[in-house]
Amino acid sequence: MTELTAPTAQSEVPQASLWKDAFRTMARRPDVIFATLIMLFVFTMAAFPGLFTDKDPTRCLGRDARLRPDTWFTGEHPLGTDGFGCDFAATIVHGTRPTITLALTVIILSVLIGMTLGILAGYFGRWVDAIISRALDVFIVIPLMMGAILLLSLFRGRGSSGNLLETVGPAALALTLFGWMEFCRYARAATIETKNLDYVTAARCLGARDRRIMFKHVLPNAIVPITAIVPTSLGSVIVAEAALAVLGIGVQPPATSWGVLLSNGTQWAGGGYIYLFGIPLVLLILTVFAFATFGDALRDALDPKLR
Amino acid sequence: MRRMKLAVATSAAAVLALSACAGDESDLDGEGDGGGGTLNMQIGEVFSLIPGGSGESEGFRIMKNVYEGLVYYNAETGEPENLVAEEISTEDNTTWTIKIKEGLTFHNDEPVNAEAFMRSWNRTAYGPNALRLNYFFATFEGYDEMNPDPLPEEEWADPEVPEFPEVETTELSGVTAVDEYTIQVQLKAPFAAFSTMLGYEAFFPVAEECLEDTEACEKKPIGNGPFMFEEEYNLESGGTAVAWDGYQGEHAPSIDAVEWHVYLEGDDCWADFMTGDIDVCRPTAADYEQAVNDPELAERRITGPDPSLTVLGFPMYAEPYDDVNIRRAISMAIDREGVINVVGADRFVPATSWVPESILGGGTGICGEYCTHNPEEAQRLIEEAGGWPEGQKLELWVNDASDNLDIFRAIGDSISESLGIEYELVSMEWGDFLLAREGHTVEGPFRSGWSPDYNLNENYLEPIYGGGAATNDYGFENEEYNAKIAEAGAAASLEEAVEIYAEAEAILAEDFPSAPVFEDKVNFFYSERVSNVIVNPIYAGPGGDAELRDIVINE
Repeated sequence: MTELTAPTAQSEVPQASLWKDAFRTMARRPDVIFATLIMLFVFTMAAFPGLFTDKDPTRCLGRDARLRPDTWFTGEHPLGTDGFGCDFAATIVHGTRPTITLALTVIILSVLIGMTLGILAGYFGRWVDAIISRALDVFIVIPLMMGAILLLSLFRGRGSSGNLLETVGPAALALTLFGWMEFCRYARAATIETKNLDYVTAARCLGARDRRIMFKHVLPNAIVPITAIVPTSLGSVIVAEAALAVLGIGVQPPATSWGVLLSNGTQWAGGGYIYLFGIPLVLLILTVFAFATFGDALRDALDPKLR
Repeated sequence: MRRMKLAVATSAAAVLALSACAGDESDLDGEGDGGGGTLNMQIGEVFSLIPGGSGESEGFRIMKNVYEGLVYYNAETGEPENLVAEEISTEDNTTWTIKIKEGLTFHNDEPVNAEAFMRSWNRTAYGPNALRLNYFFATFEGYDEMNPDPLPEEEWADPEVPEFPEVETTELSGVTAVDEYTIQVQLKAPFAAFSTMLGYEAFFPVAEECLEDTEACEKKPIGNGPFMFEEEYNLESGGTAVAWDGYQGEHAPSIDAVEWHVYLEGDDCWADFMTGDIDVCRPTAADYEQAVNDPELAERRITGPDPSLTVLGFPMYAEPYDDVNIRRAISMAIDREGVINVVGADRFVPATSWVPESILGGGTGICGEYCTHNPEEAQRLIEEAGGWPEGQKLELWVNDASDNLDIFRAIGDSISESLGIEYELVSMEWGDFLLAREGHTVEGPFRSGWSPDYNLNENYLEPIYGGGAATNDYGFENEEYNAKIAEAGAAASLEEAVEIYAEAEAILAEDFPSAPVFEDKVNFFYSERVSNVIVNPIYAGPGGDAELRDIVINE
């Protein structure tokens, strides 16, 4: 049995250094550091909104509606108030959690689905590959937005009770259903490439079962290209959520997300309250920029061939 | 069905269809060489274009121009003035004699005589026709014979349209023709204000040809008014009514035609107004400030009172709203000024009574301290009532049309802030909402809006809160109140009646079945190409309206 484990242990050594190398390359790039700071800021906001505001976003005084943020980041209302007189800073901070939760849920589910199907297709080939690849083709042909709109219109008008799962559930479902394909393609390609490598053949010769080969030998290789596209995908999910919210079918009020804030803000922007639209927009652009930059750098670092 | 503020409930498909059909007006502009031109007006969902069937603001806006009633409400005072009627007289407020002007005709040359009016009234009063304005004839002698109790609800084909057993009587026994141009009306009880009702759609005449094919008439009404439809009106894309050459009445328009553009489901006309495609429009809350601050637009602004009233109704049949202190506390918890600040200043004024100020006998301020924001007192009243039920959320029921959700969110925020209780909005489509209210399945305070049918405080009292606990939406019943209403009906003169109705309102205030929230305010803008824009103080469409018989196109 010792012969069996020895080669595996060896194969993990260069892998660990691949991640370490990547980290070192990235830590040297200032744009990555900037992007990381933004991501940290956003994730902290989602996890601990209390650190950023002590106001309750549901406490809204009609008399204080639409106060412009003249004091900027200080005073009673650091970012002014929205159309209903709710503190705008609190609304944005508390709107981060649904946004981030949704994006993470979608990515985790998509990676799980995409990777499993991709490895199965790549590893077994033949009819398994045929079925999965055709399904892949079908889903790729349907544009994400159209698919999501069609699916979400089923949930229209059902409202939400403020429960996080109910709030982001339908949108997460729709975006996942039309978002797993890229991960699947990467996983399939990496699996096909890996499964004929010598160490895999060796493992098979030694009597390893399919499951063991897939998860112990193929997966660690397949996960590299997938990791590289995760941050970029996170950014695009956030943008897709905003688009759905503007169409009124994403996260349902009274819950807020950045998309909901943007969509509410657009109607006021024309009336001269540009901050109601501008602040969520800037935040959204910065976040997407951060994820994209980080993702780009990660891919460069993990796959020097692409550089 | 009563006349409630514009409420739209159509599918998204309808809106798509609308945008596909809009914008085909160029062919009409060529026809008007008389100078007048075509006016572009916005309109919402129309229920019916045959008198008696609409009962909402939008249908009436078309009908009052395509048809001509016995009286017309003066655009400045709201007082009824004779139009088709030559003379309306009574001695005892029970028997009324209406003399009609001779020689007038419908668009199809049928004569407008006593028969034309009676034909229409009998049709609306006939219970099995299930017309929305049927209740207007409840005061007429012979109404009961035509309106037996409806069949049990399970037997109706459509749950919204009641069905009746066979009814033999098809004519009101209280309405008789003395000669070809004189109608005599016999009421069940004296009603001093009867003549003020006669300008409303329920009392318009109908042509014989129209009743022969109501489906066709619904699309292309045969009226007797200054405008007529040459092509069919479409509920989703609107239509054009042209000035009628044969109009002989006294109130003729100067414009050649009016094209109605339909806006449904919270869609509004402001963007089209800004591009010059609509001539009179109300900005939404978001556009309002910019519009007012635009010096050029501000010159073309028209403001005035609008007697539409929004109240927060209480389900008095459900706990804890059966306690008057809870009802009063909720009313006191609403910061009306604050809510108005959210939904657009100048769109509303805080209400202080159950009848708006611009209505005859209205503006009594009877609600007093209970319509004033006072969180401490509100909390004290809640305590007195035994406290708010532990863990219960305040449910605010509202129909989802227009910006009702925004308005009621602001109201909910305010109550929640004042009383420290949580709330949630229960939003429904208009049809379901009406059924829920009527069926008493509403479990929390609900939205109720009312636009007047005629200029009298009675119209805000009897139709809404009368009929007994099982009939009205509130589950409100008070012997004393009903007695006052009956007493007022029997009053010798209109002035006296108005006063007694005000006393009935005071009884209502004691029981507090609803909290007056605000009265509407007309706040329209009109385009450069029109002038002499007059908004009727009693009847105005919520999204933008003007008197079509007075408006002038400058070009």
